[in-house]
Amino acid sequence: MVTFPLSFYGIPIMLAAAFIIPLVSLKKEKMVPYIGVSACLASFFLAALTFIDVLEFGILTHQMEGWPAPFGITIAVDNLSMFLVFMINFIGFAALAFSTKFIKERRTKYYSLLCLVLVGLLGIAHTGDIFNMFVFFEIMSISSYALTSYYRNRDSIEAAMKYIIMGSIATSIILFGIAFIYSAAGSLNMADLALRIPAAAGPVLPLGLGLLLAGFLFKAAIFPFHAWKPDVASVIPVPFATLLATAGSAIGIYAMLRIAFTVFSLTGFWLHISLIVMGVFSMVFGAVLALQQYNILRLLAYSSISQMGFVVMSLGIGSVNALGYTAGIFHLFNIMVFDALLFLCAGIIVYHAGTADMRKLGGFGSFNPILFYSFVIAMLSSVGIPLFNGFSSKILIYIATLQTYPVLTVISLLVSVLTLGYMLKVYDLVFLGGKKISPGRIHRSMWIPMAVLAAVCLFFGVLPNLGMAISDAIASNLSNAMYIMGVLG
Amino acid sequence: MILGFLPLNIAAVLLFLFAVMGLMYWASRKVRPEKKSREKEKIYACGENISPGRLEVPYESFYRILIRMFGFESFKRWHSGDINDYLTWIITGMVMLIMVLVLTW
Amino acid sequence: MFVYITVMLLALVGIYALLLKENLIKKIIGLAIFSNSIHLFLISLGYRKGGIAAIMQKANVGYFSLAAVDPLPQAMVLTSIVINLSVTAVALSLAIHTYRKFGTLDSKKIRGLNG
Repeated sequence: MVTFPLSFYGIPIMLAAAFIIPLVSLKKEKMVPYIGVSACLASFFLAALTFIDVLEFGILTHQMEGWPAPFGITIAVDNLSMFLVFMINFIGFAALAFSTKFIKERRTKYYSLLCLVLVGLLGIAHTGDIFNMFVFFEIMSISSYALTSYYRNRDSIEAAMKYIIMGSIATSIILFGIAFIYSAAGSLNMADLALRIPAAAGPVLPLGLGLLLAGFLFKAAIFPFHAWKPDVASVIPVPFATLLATAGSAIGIYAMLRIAFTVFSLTGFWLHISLIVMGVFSMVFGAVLALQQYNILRLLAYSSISQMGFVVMSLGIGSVNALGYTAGIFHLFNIMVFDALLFLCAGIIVYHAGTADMRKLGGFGSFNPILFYSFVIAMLSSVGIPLFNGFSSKILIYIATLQTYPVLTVISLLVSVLTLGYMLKVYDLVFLGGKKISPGRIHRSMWIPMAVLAAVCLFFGVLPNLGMAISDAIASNLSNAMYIMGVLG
Repeated sequence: MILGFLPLNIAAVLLFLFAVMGLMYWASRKVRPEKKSREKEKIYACGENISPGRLEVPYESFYRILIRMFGFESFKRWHSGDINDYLTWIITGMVMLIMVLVLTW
Repeated sequence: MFVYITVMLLALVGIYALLLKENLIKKIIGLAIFSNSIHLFLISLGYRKGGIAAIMQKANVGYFSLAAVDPLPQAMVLTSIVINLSVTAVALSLAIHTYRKFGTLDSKKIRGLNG
């Protein structure tokens, strides 16, 4: 409450990098990747420092320009925000480091827009004001609309056109929800809303909540709103796909958690049924469609839709059984780690083979042991094999569903079997196969992020109690008493 | 409580079993060291001659049978690529979510 | 009361244009109509009968908070108008690129990525 969250300085640093990059590229274009990577490294370092503060204080707040709490804009970083800030910085750094070798032409546009996407993501995680969250959401969305059309071919333009129309509707729906909530409660600060909402009456509030949830679940790519993700993920440069598929969707789920738990403090029955239904449909649709794809990036996008369905279903169960929240947040963390690893492996494959069509690939098993072992670790994690981190969170999901609705355990197990099916499809078509590719070297900026992510996978698989303790600490933050006390004093 | 330690128990048991297996493998190598020979590297098919091309499992037809049996192709046809369909899903999903929330507030 | 009916009609017109029209330019126009309806709704939330503009001067310090219209929705709407300006600009430039690549602006014919 008295210290300043240092990780907030990451936002101006990345914003300055995004504006300096075009200026520097006029004289020396070779410096452009290094500016982006060093800005993200500075932001990651600040996030690591803030992490220690949050563990000690519980919540760190700051009022911008000194305006007191309900009238000014608040920066509030508690356990849930810190978790996301740390993961966004980590995956952002991995993606930027990977793209120093991956992207060779028009680097200015790529790095500048990627820094803006990171500004948007960090801003959503830091802010305590609902309209500020909308503005940062738009920053992230508009930068990703522009970056979707990076390769100027037919598929990219088509995917960008569809993404921009669908995304703008979603953000307009969010603004509609904010308008309804402002009309009912009269404030925009999230802690202040949490105090005023129980007193406000009428059917305006669930209307606003439903609109906000629909808008944020669009970004998280959950069932009715998932159609943009496979199209977009198959046409963008793979490091950006890593960031968008993992951190972009996780920030959608974070925003949904903020609205539903911090602002509205919900324990209603029908909301959790609708979250469970949407989660189950996402799981099944993602897994079933991933089994039929030929493009490796499209398949991985459907795979991440399926895994996010697990998280949403588990968060829906959480209002009946408190283990669901712990399981959901732990699985969100695990998804970010192994999905990023899967996309980076696909990035190396696309970089060396030039194509993402799995029917034309084959024989990568003998290419490089780091690639092979990273992919196997990520594959076994995503299926949920013991000793890898996917198992630690999936067993908690199975236990939580077994204690409330056992039919969901059956559905989860069947979807895990389908996950094994499509992961084996990728493994067989890409890594085994007729022609063998001669061993090659991967540049160190590409294999170091992969090795670190694989080490994290193994670490949380062998020592799951640490992950469960962290998720418990985050899940206990979902009740908003400490948040309100920290922000409003 | 026992629930909190369940993944740790399973991980510990599996690591222990892997260690036992590795120990047995190492001990067996000590008893009889490995001898490499050309014959061992070839594909064995009970005395027949099989070309390597016949050994590949046809993955496409395997998955196709599974997909047709459960009717998964219909899911793929629904994602028709037409943006009006996707927008209809978004608006319909939003309306249903709002109705569920309003009627049961 | 009439304002809210107008807002809902405009939102419905915007969604109709987005869902049922095939031309990409008509979809972008529908998006603009939809977001403008939300702006109208936001501004009308702050209205006060017989209110003065939210500019504090020396003369009206005393009764300012009782008579002024709410300035917060106006700030929100200004921000949102700027955001929608940039979104419309990007969408229209993407429509130009779409026309160059595909030769048509009909969304039923732009279906390369499906399944």
